[in-house]
Order: sequence, then C-alpha cells, then structure tokens
Amino acid sequence: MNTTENNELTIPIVTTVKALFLYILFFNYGFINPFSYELPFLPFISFLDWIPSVAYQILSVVLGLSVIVPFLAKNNYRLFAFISGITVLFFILSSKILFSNSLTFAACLLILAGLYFGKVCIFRIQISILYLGAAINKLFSEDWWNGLFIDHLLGNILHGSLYQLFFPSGEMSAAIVIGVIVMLIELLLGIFVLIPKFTRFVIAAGLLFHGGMLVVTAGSLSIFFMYIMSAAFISISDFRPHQITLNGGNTFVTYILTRLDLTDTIVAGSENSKKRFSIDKRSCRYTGRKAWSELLLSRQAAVWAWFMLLIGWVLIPRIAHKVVLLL
Amino acid sequence: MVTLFFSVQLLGVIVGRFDEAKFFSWAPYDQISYYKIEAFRQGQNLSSETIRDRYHISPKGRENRSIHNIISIVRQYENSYGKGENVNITISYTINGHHSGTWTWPEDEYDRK
Repeated sequence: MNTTENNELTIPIVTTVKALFLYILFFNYGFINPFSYELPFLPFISFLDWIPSVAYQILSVVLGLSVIVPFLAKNNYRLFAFISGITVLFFILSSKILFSNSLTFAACLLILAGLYFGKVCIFRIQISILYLGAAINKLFSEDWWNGLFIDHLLGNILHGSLYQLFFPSGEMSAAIVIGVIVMLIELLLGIFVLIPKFTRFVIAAGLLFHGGMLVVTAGSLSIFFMYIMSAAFISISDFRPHQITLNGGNTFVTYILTRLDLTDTIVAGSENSKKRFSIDKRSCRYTGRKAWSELLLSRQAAVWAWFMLLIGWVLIPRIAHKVVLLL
Repeated sequence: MVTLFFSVQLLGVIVGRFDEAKFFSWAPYDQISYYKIEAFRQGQNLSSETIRDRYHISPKGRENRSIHNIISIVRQYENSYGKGENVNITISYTINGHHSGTWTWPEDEYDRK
C-alpha cells in the first residue's frame, strides 16, 4: 500500500496528522463533547456572538468524528485534517477562554496538512513563525534579559526544578544565562528550520531544547509543546519506516494493530487468518515470537510508544488524582 | 491561501509588539503573573463562584501568559454581556514576581507600582 497515492499525504505528514488527532482526543477532549463549553463566549471577533450555541454543539460532533474516523477508515486524511484544524481554530476564535498557543499551533498544522500541495516547506515556515515569534516577543521583554522571568519561574513557581537544587537562594547571573540561551535557541531554530540541509540538526536540537526544559523544570513545563513539536518535526523529517505486512493470526488483533499505527505503514496481508501470525518486512518473513519482536522493535512502534509516553505523562497523574479523590 | 494564512500569523506577531495581551503573537510563557479579581455590585462583594461563573476563569491564580489576557477577558465581558450591571472590579496582579499593579473597572485604568 502506498500512502502517498491513497491519501495524497506523505508518510511523515500522515504521522503528524494522526498524532495531532490524538492530541485533540486526549488533551482537548472537551472540544469533542458538545456540552463542555457554552460557546460562543467572549469571542475574538464580535459577530461570532450571533452564532447559536447549537451550531457549536454540532461542530463538536463534527470535530469528534473528524479526529476518530480517520483511525478507522484510514483515508481522507487531508480532508479530516482540514476540518478538524478549522473547527478548532473557529472554537478558539469564538472564546478567549479557549485560547492557548499549543492548541492554536496544532490547529495551524492541521489546516496546513489540509492545504498541503506537495511542498513540505509550508510546515517549515509554520515552525519557523512559531519559534521566531516566541524569540521576538522575549527579545523585547526586559525581564528576559535581566533574569527576572527565569528566576521567578524556576525559583518560585516550579517546585523541585533543577534550578532550585543548584541555586536554592536564586542566582540572577544563572537566570540571565538561561534566558539568553532560550532566546538564542528559539531564534536559531526559527532560522535553521527553513534550510532543508539542517533538518536533522533542527529536529535533534528542538527535541533537546524541549526535553531540556522538561528536565530543568522537573517535568512540569513544556510537555504539550514537546508533544506538538514532536509531531511537527516528523512532518519535515525523512521518516519513512519500512512497510510491515501482517499475515495470519487473529483478525481482530490485525485490525487493532493497523488502526493503532500512526504511520499507515502497517497493513493487513491477504493470507488466511487460520495460519500462524507472521509479518513481512523488507522482503523477509518473520513468524510467531520473532514476528512480534520485529513489530515491537519497529520504527512504527517507536513512534507510537513516544506519543503514548507523552500522553500517559499527562493523563496518568490526572486519572490517578481523580481516583484518589473518589476513594 | 497558504500565503494568506502565514501573512495573518506574521501580522499577529507584529501586532503583538503593540498589544499587551499578545493573543495570537506566538508568545508562550513570556511572563507569569499571579492575580486576584475582586468584584462589587451595588456594594456587595461577588463571591468566588459568582466571579468564576461570570468570566469562566478562576477568581485568583496564576496566568502563564500576559496578565492582559485576564484583563482583556474581564473588560470584554463588562463591555458586552455585563453592560449596565454597574459592577466595580479590581484586578490585583504581580508580574514575574516583581512588578505589581492593579486594574480597575469601570475606569479601565492601571495603577502600576
């Protein structure tokens, strides 16, 4: 199966789009519940106040379908990406309460996937605008140059950060250095992402940057951006895992595996389900345990595990907290 | 279409240089503020629940973006849905742990210390 021919999007972009669908499903599930928000409420554009609430409830259902159906149908990703991106952006425009940079960025990526015309540079430009915008806003902020912001964030707000460990009483010169490094990294990422030959460097540096923020803040900052930037970086990467064809075994298991795959490169073979489970990968056939281990060690599984790790990082504490409250 | 899409975003970054709320200017975590909203109607103090129901935001807490996001929400509410209710509001805030100030409504004035 050639993903490019079937849905007009390349494997990296399909992966990005599906990761963003999961982002809406797991992190912004309120958007797909028609009764979560009373919209419109304090819209950015005043005429949106005239739109009846029922229209938003219908749109919530449409959004829910547009992020779930692609996992089942495995086609029309461009259309579903465009619908979900536009709907999320429309929701944000309909209420200042719903605004967030990470969600707006996710919506922008989805819209761009919908408008994709064969040029990956649109994703590069989108990432560049984000980093340059973030850098420019910080460059004009005095508190980023004199260390006040960093010292306050890491010293007073985020408890348990490495900064507190190394500088328990605050150290303005360290805060200034961290602030300048952050601005410099954002500026450089914004520039170098536009140059294709630096793609690998930008992806590595970007993931290190967001990962570093997670480490310095003891995991309390940038997890959403880590998720979204991971998805965004895949869109500009040359990520092309080898196709895996599943043969035999349980039909239901095959169905689940092909639906969980974010890359659309795990496909069901035509062999009889009564046969022993096997996979075909790079002209080789693996059977039984060897097939499972090949599957688990595949790039498809690695990508899936990465996004599940980030989702679990956010959701497990939330669920645990609710369970504790119930008990 | 794509060009227009990016142009709007670039415009957002430029407008953000002159607009303190910086909603669509790609400015995550540029400042962090602690704030408290107090509201009075006909001399009566509005409860925390009433404030939360009114503006759909916490009456006090932390804002991870510009404090003007919060002020913008309250100002827009009072200029639209809450018009004519004669509510007096004070938002006290501290930006980045050092810059304190208050914003009052209906005067729509800042008192930066």
